[in-house]
Amino acid sequence: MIALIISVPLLAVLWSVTEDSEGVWGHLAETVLSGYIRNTVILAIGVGISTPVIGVSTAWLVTNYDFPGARIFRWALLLPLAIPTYLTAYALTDLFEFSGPIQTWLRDLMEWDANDYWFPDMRSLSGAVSILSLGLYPYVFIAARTGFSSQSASMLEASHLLGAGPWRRFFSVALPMARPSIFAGLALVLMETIAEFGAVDYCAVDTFSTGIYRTWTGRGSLVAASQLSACLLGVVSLLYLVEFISRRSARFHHTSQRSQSIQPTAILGRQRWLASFVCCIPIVLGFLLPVSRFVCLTIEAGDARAGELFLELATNSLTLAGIAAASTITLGLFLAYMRRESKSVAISSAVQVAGFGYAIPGGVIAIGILGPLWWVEDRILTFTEASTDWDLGLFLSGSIVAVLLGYQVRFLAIPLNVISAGFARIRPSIEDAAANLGATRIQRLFRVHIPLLTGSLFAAALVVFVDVLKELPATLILRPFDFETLAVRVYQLASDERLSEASTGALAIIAAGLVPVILLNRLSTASQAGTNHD
Amino acid sequence: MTKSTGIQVDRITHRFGSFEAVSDVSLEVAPGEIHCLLGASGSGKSTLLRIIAGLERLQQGTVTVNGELISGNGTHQPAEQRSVGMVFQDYALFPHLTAIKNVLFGMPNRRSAESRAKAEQLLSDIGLAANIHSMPHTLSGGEQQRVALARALARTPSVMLLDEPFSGLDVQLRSGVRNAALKVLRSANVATILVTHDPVEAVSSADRVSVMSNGRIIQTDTPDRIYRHPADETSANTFGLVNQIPFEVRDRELITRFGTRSLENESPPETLFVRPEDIELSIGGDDPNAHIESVTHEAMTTLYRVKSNDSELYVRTLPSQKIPVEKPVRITLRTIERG
Repeated sequence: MIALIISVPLLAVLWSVTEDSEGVWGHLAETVLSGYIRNTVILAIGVGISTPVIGVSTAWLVTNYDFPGARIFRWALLLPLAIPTYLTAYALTDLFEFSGPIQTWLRDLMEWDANDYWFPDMRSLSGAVSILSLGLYPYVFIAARTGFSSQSASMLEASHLLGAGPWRRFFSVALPMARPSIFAGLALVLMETIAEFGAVDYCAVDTFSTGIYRTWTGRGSLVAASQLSACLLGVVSLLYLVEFISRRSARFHHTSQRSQSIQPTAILGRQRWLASFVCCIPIVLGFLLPVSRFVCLTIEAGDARAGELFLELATNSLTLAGIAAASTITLGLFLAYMRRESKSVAISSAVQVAGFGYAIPGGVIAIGILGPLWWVEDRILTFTEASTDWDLGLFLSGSIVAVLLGYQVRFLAIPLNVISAGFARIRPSIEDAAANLGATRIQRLFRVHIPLLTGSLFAAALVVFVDVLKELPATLILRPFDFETLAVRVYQLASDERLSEASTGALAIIAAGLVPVILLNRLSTASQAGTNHD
Repeated sequence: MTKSTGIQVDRITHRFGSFEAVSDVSLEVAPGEIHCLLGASGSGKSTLLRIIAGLERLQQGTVTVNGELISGNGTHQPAEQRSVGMVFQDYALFPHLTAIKNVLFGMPNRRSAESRAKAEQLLSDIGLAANIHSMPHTLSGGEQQRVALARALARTPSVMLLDEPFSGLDVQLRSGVRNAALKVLRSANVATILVTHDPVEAVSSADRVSVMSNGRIIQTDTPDRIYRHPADETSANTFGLVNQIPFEVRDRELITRFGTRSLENESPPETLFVRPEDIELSIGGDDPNAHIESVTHEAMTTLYRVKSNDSELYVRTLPSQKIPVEKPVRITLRTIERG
């Protein structure tokens, strides 16, 4: 039942394909659609090539070798994950544009004139590819590192003894074995790339995601926006399938091996500095530069209205994030427990569907929610107007209910997966024992499972909380009129080229984003320590 | 309180898909009796326990505790309402609760001082007075096992199910822990079903044993009688090495190549099973009938594999009885006990 409600937006989007958009779709197809397709495909290919290059090479270096700073790089390479890609875009574009500090400095240094030199333009498709690659490569990095760490050292030692040099060991043994994990990470990257709104919007690249938003806000056509969403949904489903399949085979690989994991060996000579340099680049470009730019901007100018507005915005953001985290956790716990307690195929497949939300771009979810929500609201209003004299107004679509529903659909998968993993660690005999000792099903949940799941529940709540703080497209479309959050405010200021004012909010979002990254790092090192002790 | 009449299991059959895990099993355990379910893994013992505990829904047959039908004929009393305690193979202690809180978990009014006093008493009865506030992971296997037992006893169940609870313990520790546990259960007058695959455990602790194989109970009897008079080859093999000796019956006499015995009014067995220690081995002298093939020195005894004509037999003797391997020997059956 709940899973069904969650899937309503998806069905609404798919249903729209059969509807008539009063010529808007035809107009779109003639004018901008081919551009959307071209840009989205080039973006996906560009990011799809560069993120594995950055993510896999750095993961291999820090897993297999020791070199100056390797210990720091092992966690620092995750840092760009703390910055939402739209903030990376704002900062890097600002730094590298014509009037930005870097070009100005170059001109002053070389005494160049505007026409004397060429400099890459960040506000372009290639700029968007670079920004997304820098922001998203950690997904591949994590996946590849997991893949490499779970490989048995003896396998690599065997290939060493059989005469394979370091390059051949990497390309013919380590890489093929880690391929399922890497594919899973890459699929995540591509899903995020296709769903990306803020960064590509700022780089003035028109993709499906920005198109959906424009069609809705500019032309006001929900049907045409839904139809665009349906196209996007098709591509995302395909990627989700790839991710699902590779994750399954990754699991297979993982369980089949129980032996000594790889111990890093020291790189000697000058090469070790090269390794450090390679690992430095993505951290500097993807984290240090954007953060320091925002810090500079805040110190120089900052948001003049920060004092009065900041409190209100932060309260809005925190309220939304708090409610969303609490409700998704409750729902996720409930669904995961249902799946554990009943062996019914219907429930487990329904839960699977509910978990699909994370793969769907926020904009698509928002568009998919509006139609059904209006329909329900309309029915209720007709009923109340006919039978009572209440004036409810737009009590659903005009309130935070809409945006909370959107978050529910988008983020339910996080608690669902985290809590299911937590449940998997609880031995079935524990709940058999509880039943044998007289605890009913509800008592078992509260007296045994919830205390044992505290860590998982907390981790999942934290991740949802921060994701909601960062979320942009769904919030933009679904928020009540005049309701602003930190992310929305930063987006609007940046759109108006008032980046120095946006920097304060941006730093707040990044600070919040660091928390789950630290947590993630803790979790992954803890699990690696766990496997070593086995 | 209803008078305790133990547990009756009547004609239970249980399938997982097309696989029949339990076939037409009937069992009766009186209050205070220790009843052992003995069989190899996969013989259906654990499934039977789970059905009795209500953790697995009964498909066919009935389970009655203290005269009350709890499973079968459309009745399924939920696991949490049954007067059936269980100690799991992995103890299944709640890892987030201390020893005493584990014991209190299933007690009615678990916050009352009375319950607390009872839980403390139970833990100190089994020698864990010093550990009542310990977390499970800080306890040894034997201590965890005793906490699990105390936890199950705290609900004063009429029936106790023990699912190989001693198999995880060191051999030196095992018999001590087991004897203490079973003593507690006997004195509490609980009908106990102990699942094991260890014949030594069955012989040393059970009042009666049911031998299970492929989901069926082959034989139910006292350990000694099953040992001496196994119903069939499986039952015989469950208790260790056994010889099958060919015989014929003439004039109410059971005649083998190694001795003869009067049957009197007894009906002759289908197969004659003789344990290695029920055969006497002596130096052949004038009339040898076998020769020794190999010798294995065991802890307390010596096991000989001897050959007589075409048949191979195992004979167990005390190590003090030295028999040269190269000499022909004579084997005779000891007086075969009456069944």
